[in-house]
Amino acid sequence: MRKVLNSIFNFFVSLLLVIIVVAPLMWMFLMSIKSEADIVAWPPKFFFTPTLENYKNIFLNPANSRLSFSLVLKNSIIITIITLIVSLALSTLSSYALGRLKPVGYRGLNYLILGLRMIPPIAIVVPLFIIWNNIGLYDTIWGLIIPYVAINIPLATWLLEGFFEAIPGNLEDAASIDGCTGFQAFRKNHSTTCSSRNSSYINFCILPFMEQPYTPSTTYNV
Amino acid sequence: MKRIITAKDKYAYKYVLPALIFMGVVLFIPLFFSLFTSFFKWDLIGDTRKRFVGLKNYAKILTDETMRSSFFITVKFLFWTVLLEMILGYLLALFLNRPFMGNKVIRIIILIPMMLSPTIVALMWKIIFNGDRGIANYLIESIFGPGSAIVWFSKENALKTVIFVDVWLNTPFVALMVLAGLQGIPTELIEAAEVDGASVFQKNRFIILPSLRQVLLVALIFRTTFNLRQFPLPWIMTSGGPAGVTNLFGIELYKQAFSFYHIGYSSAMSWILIAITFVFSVFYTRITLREPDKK
Repeated sequence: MRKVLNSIFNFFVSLLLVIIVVAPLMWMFLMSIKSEADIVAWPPKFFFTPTLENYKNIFLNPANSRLSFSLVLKNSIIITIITLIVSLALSTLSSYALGRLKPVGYRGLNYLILGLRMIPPIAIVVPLFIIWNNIGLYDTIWGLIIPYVAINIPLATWLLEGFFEAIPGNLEDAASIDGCTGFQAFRKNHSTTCSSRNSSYINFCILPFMEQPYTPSTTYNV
Repeated sequence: MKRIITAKDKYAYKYVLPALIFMGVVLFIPLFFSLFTSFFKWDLIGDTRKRFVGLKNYAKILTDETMRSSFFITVKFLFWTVLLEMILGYLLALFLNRPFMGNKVIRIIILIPMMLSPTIVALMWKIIFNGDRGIANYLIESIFGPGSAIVWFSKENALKTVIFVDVWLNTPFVALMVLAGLQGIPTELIEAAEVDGASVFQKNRFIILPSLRQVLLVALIFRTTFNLRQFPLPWIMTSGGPAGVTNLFGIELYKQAFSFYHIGYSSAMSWILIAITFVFSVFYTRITLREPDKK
C-alpha cells in the first residue's frame, strides 16, 4: 500500500514539475509557429494550422526588425568562439599551476581569482563605456570579447582546477624521466587528460554569451 | 609556515601570469577608473565639466529618496527570491533524490531553466503574463470565471511577478547543488536514523540539514550576490516600472549611467554594490576554500 501511494506521489509531483517547466516553453514555441492573426486571437487558439512564416521572416525579411537577424547571430557566434578560445587557453594554464603545481601563495591567488568572479559585471560596464569610447573599441566586436574573457577566466580557472587536482599520480615526474621539458609535460599529459573536461567548461562558457544584455547594449551597438 | 620561493614556484607562476595580467588590465583599470570618477561630479550631457566633489556622490546616494526606495525594493526582492529558491530548491532536491522510474529524465527537464538565457525567459513570461492577450489570464478566467483576470504588471503585482520569474529561473541551480550534496551523505547515517525510528522531519532536521550545511551556505551566498545584481529579468519585464515599484539597485544603476549619463554618480553606486558583494564574497571564499587539514 505504502509503495503504491509512494509511486502515485512520485508520478504527480513529476507531472507537476514537468508542466511548470515545459508548459511556458511549449507555449512560446507554439507562438513561434502561429500566424500573426492566430497570435492575437482571443480566446487563445490551441489548434491552428502551423506556419514557418516567422522563422522565414527573421532570416529573409529584415524589414521586420531594426537589425538583420543573421548579422546579429553571426556576431554572437564569432564573439562566443573567440571568447571561448582565449579564456580557455589562459585559464587552462592558470588552473594547471594552481591546481597541480601549487606554488607558494596559491591560496592567496585562489582567493583573488574567486574574488574577481564576484565583481558585478554592471560595475565594470560604466567605466568600460568611457574607456572604450576614448580608445575606439566602442562599437566593435573586441570591445565585447575583452571583458567577456576577463569575466570568464575566474569561473573557468575555478572549474578546471578541480579537474587538474583530480588527476592521479605524478605525471610530471614520469614525463621528465621520459625527457620532456616542463611545458611538454603540461601539454602532452595534461592537455590530453583534460580535453574531455574542457568540453564541460565549454558548456558553461557558451551559455553566458547571451545572458548579459547590458554589456552588448552599452559597449557594442552593431 | 612560510616557504622560500623555489625555482619550481617561479615556474608555476609563469603559468598563472598571463591570466592574471589579462584580468588585471581588463578588470582593475576600469575598477580604479570608476573609483576615481566616483569622487567627481561628471555628467555626459548638460554640464559636462568634471568637478571634484569628494564624498558628495556617496552622501547623495545614502540620502536620495529614489535610492532609498530602490534599496528597500532590492532588499524585499532579495529576501523573497532567496528564501523561496532555497526552500523550493531543497524540497526539489529531496524529491529528485528519491529513486523512482523516470528520475533521470525529470532531472534533465528540471535543469532546462538554467540553460536558458534570462533575456529569453523574461520575454517568454512577459508574453504569458500579458494583461489582455496572455495565456495566464485566459486560464485563470476559464477556471475562476470572468472578471478574475489579474493585472500582472500593475503597481501591486509587478514585483511579485518578477520574483516569481526569478524563482522559476534559479530554483534549479539550488536544487542541483543540494542534490550533489545529498549524494555525498553516507547512506549508513540515514539508515541508522531509520532504525532508531526517526520521523521524516527528524531525519531532515538532525541528519540531512547538518550534513548539507556547507552546500546550503554556498548556494545561499551565490543566490544572494547574484540576485543583488539582478538586471536582465526586471529590465526586460518592467524596466523598473510601474511607478518604480520594481526599481532594483541594478536597474537604478543602469538608468543613472546610461539614461541620465551621471557617470560620477553611477560610479559611486557601483562601488557601493561592489562593497556589499565583497562582504558576501569574502564569506563565500572562506567557506569554499576551506581545505581538509591533512595533505
